Amino acid sequence: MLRPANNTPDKRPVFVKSLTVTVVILALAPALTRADVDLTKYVAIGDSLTAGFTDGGLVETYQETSYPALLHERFSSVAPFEQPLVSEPGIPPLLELLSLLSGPVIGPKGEEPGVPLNLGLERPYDNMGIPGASVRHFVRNRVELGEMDDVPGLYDLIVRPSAFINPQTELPFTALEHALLNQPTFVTLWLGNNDVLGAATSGIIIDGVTLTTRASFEEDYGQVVDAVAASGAQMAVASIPDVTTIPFVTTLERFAVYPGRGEETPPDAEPLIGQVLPLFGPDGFQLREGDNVLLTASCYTAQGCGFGIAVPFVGEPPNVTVGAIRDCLGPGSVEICPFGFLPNHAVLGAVEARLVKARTEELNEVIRAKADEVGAAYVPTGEYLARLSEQGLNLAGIPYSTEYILGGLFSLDGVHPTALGYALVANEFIRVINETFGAGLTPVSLTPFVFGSEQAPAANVDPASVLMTSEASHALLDTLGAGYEEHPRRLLRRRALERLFAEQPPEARPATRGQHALDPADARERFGRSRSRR
Amino acid sequence: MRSKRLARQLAVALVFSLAGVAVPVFAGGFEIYTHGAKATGLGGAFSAQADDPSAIFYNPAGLAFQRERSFLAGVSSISLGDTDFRGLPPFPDSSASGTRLDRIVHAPHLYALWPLGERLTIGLGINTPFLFSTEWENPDAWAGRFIATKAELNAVDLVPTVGVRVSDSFSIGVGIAARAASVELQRRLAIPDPFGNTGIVEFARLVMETDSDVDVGFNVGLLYRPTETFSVGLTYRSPIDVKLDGYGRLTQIPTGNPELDLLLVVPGSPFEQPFDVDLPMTTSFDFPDSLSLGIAYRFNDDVIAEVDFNWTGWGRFDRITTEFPEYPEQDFVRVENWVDVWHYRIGVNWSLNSSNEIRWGFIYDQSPQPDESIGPIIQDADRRGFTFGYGRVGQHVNFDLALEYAPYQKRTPSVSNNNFFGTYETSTWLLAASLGF
Repeated sequence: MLRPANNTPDKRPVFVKSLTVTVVILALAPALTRADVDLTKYVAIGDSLTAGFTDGGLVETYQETSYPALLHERFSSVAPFEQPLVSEPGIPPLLELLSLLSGPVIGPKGEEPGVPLNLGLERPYDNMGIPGASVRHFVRNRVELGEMDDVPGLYDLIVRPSAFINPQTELPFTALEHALLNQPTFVTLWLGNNDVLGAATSGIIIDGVTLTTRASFEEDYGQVVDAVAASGAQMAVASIPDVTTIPFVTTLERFAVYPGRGEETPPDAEPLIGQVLPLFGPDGFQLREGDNVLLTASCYTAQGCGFGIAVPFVGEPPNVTVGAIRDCLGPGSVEICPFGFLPNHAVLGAVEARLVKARTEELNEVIRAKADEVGAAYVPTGEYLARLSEQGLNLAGIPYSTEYILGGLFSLDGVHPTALGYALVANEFIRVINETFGAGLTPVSLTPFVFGSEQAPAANVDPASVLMTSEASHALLDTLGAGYEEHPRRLLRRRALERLFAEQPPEARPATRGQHALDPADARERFGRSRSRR
Repeated sequence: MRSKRLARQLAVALVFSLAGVAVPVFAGGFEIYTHGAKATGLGGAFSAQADDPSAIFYNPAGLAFQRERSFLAGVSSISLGDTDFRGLPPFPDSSASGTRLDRIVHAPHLYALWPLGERLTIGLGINTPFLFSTEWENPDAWAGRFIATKAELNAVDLVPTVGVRVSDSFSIGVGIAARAASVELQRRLAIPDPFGNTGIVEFARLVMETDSDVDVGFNVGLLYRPTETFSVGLTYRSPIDVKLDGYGRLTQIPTGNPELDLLLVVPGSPFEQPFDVDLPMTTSFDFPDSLSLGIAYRFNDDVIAEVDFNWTGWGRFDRITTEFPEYPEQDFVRVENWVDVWHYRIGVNWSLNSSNEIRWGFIYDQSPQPDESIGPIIQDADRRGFTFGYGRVGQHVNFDLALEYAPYQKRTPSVSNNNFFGTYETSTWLLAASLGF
């Protein structure tokens, strides 16, 4: 009478209960999986996220734990899952964090890229994740794409168009047709990311070019889903994340430390060296609240560009340390910085960001509607990643976040997840597949991505034998310089990271000869008005 | 000569306590409901009898019917149980296991009564109303070490009480409970390894300890004995919120990466940690209120049975907020969201002859802890328990002994606030003794 109904005690001994439960599960499990969804032959359609792209490249180690590979493992299917594996150090060579001491130094793992390891497979790959692919790349064949000069860089590695020619048309199969040639019983579809990503990472919005229009997306996406449905395969479709929340967009602030230009520093700007100054956007105005400084901008700010101090660049492009922007000052870009403004492609303005976000929502509506239409499972990966970005993840007491380098969920390219991030995505798929089809799949174990493949206990080492000497410590202090203490502690971490970004090693700075296109006195006056820390 | 006898009796009590003769029993969560061996033998169904000095806890109104100066002392040696943890995917997966170390806690209870005048009895009691202590074996490898390697809460009540007999059949009692509480939590700290796409770096031990702090609540009880054979008791114990001050201390663990080790100690680096200093910390704990309704019936001269319905307001325990005023990065809020629960107790007391009594009891106890809060700090579960007790009634000295066995049911939460999944299985026992004179 006083007891809540749902807490009625079960009088049977525990072992009898567990035995009963086990028997019921054993009896039901095959029935459930076979009755509602057939996972025996799985094919993944998507882009770099599906391919397992991490740290700016594609490599075996991470392809093996791409979310489709993890899903296939849980599907317990006997059919092998073939991927276009690439040897170390990856294509292109993966980025690695070389040092944190003098600022995050990030560079490629090698000069020579890795090689494809699975080119000889005599059928299309089961992982049809094509890095850089928009939806349209799946419904047009290689010849059409070639004519439009619209072939993603790694397209030929994944699709191998010459190997599979449609005998009727004598043209290459489309990527979509490739996927279906494998006669899947189950397909995951995570497409549309590149239909909005380019606009965010290039900071340039051209409707129909960097940002796919709703009408065009609806047509192409509909074609993909309809073709998969017509093949008889069941599917799970995933939504597009808000690309304005990825570290590539969110890491840098509208202020940076002015590094000067070495010997080329305009004399009047010399007192400003080492100070935190506001950055100037492509329109010549100081950046405003809501404007996003892209990772690519760090390459410019490291060279004194973007502070409104007009100095044209002459000479060789610098040895850039933030890998994602290694091409930031290629040949022909010299004239970009004559007025000291950040170029258009280094800034995603507030209005642009809103446009990208709004378009993402529109395209997700299309995905959702199409999923409902054909009875596909709808995996809210977009919402899931948004939640990670807002709340982070407390994994057994370890704090994960979407913060660049330090957060543990996004890899060094600032766009693609880490292996743990991909495993979390796999579990989001599994959750929805279980809910929709009653598949009863076990979640992917996160343990290898937290403790490594073998759970090694912390070494019991004498601290004195491992920690750096005090001389080294002092040397580091000199490197880092003073100035951190003056910030409130809560801002410290962020501020310090920003500062570390700005402080490239001196040898990384370009030796250039510059002219003042803008009077330094003007520039200083402008700083005088606007110099403030947020 | 009386004092000599007293000393001997105290010595006997001490021997029992050292021998592991124990008293308390848990009631849902980490509320302890064994504050006298007689009541424990009855499964805790005692609020309608309350006829020994432990009435100070079970029903302060029971004091008013006790007309002799008396004293009751006991020590509770509680096996907190060892818990086997077996991980489940997604984390830490079935490859992970852990063992919570068993620990035997000795918690005393002491009660003294003095009748004053015709209708009044005053008393003073000390007992341990709440307690938990968790420590995991092999803390260097324990998968839950970033949540807790050790967690402990201690609370001791000092309860001055007064009972008033309003009529021959009705009494009321009121006590002031001054509660001294302290908590301790130890865990490891780790961050995602910035140099590796997989893995973490474990870089510090964190020990948080509070001083004991005292906050005050009250107990109130009613006891109604309309006939020789029937009595009803009602007891309410108020909630007590304690605010605790203490310190947290970080000790560096070498990560194996000299660069990171250095960044952790360099002032101003994004990784800087305040190692080896006492960081002031404040936290608070909201102890629940509780209500007991007991009905006792005397079947004949030898047999009394009682049934108690107990409610504990664990819904108050919704979160633990811990703040480090000088180091806000370590601030945390643990969401607990416990729920109010009922527990039921039945006990039978059978007098074999004028000096020997035996007792049985049955306990049905619900866990107030929701699935999502189960974890390495507290792993509560429903329990059903049996008690057996023996009482020796002497001319000057009473001696009571009780044994309780109340195993936890296996618990496998499907949701977890900390994303830490697995099965917890706890086995435990309890033995209690009190000596009264």
